Amino acid sequence: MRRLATPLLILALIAVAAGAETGAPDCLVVVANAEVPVESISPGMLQRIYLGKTTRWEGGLAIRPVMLHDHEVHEAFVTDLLDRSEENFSVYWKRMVFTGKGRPPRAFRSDEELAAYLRETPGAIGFLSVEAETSDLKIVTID
Amino acid sequence: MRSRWIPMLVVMMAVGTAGAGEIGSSVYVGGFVSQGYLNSEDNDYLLRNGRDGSGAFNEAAVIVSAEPVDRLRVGIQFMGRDFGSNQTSSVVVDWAYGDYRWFDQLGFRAGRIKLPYGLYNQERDVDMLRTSVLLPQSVYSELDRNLLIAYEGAGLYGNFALGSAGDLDYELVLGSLTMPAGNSQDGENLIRDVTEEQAGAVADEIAEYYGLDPDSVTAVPAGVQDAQMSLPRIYGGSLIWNTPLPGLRVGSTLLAGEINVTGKTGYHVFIRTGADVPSYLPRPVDIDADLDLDNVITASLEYQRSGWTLASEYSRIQVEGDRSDGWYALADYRFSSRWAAQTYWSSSYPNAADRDGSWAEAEGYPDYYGWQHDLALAVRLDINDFWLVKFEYHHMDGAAQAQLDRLAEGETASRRWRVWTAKTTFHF
Repeated sequence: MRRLATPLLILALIAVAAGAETGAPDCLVVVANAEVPVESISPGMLQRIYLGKTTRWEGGLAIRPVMLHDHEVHEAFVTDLLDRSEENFSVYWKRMVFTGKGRPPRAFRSDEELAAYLRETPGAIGFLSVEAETSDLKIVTID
Repeated sequence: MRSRWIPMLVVMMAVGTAGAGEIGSSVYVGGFVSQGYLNSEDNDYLLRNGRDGSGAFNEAAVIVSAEPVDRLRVGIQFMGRDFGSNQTSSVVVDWAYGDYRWFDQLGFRAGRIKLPYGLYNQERDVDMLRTSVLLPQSVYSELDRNLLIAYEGAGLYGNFALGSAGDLDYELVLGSLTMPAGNSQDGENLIRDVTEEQAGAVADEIAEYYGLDPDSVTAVPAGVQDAQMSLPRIYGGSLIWNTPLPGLRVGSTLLAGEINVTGKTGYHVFIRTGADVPSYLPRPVDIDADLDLDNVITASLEYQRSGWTLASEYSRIQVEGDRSDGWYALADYRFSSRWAAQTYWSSSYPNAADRDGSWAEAEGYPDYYGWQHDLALAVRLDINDFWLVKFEYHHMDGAAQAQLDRLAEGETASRRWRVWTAKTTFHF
């Protein structure tokens, strides 16, 4: 039993540390194409989507994650919701690209461009500045 | 930089000027060019011409990937690489494969695929993904690069979400590997091992043929020419647990297979028949040997948080019962978006069963041929988002990875020595 104590303690510490909640930042809103079959999403699922680990919505529709590039809300999204530094997120995707394992989420330079893509692309999910126009888009709440 | 790379550089510049990344909605293009310099104060480390400093240390690559239909991705990377006289290549297909992902837990790849080995083997040639110039050589030895870089075949992969326990990445591989002709330091080393092991038997055979006293015949292995190595079969897989503690991942790799080495070598056979000067009999030998790659095992741990990366890995490679191993511990800190620094301690042992070098002493070499410890310090500066430079210092103790065949007759490798290296990379 004593042999098991140390690994069990480590696993317990990991679980406690991992239990810390990640809140949605006030400066952005998570939005999706109207056909996306979710109303809310957990930060954990967002992480899996933006790291290319979950690629299908329930029902089989392909997930098309997109993001804003060189935009003030990008950092908030990556650090607060994906729980990674921008550098770490960038290196992760370069690693995937240069080993042939995947490609990063498409990036847009403005709210308007990203919103237009979301409206016309089934399965697409992304984030916009909180003041951006979101008509015809599904607002996805963070669990 | 070699002139045959120029067409690739032109393509890279054209693509870079056009704004690299996505072309349309389904094609992705990227690339990089690196130029390094390495100076090994002793022991002619890695580049085989680094004792006086060498710039024959560069690579360039272009990658194109596309998703022609739902669930299917195809990609190819062209790469040219110059690593001293150890590994030189014209532009080759570094990897190229199709990838069909049925669902998140199961995908299928076929083609030339980067081999999973430890945490960083698949990205080892991509300089901008790390702070150091050289990965810890105890686990990612450049001398073994050709053995472990990629395979031609098929593989399964996937990711399992484990709920509150994190998630699990796996890769299974089955295939073979053919290396560029005339480009195999690994093959030379293996042939040298084979000829040294058989030297006694060759001497005995000659003594018996001529009816001589076995003690009067000595066979000394000659040099190796036209060495070629391939892996007719390699199989195994890797498992990485991304734990629920953000930034902590734990992994392991297990591979096995067969190695084939061919080349021309031979023996200088000396026969003492009572005269002061022995008779000399050259004995050329064509080598075509199949060897068991018994196993390749790694165990890995990495934690990334708040700019820190802490990592440690152990690897063991066993060929025909001979086991070498090594490990390292690494600490890396990114001070800002521009500056990062790293230090690591790396230890490698060519004979894992005898880490104090007794085997080397028994063969008439210094005991420090039995290990190599490497204390490395590296600094990286990202000048902008597309251009970086690195500087690195290594303090070495031991000569396990020194290229002993480069030493002059009677020369001994140094025990304590230093290596300086610098590198700059452009990427998009």
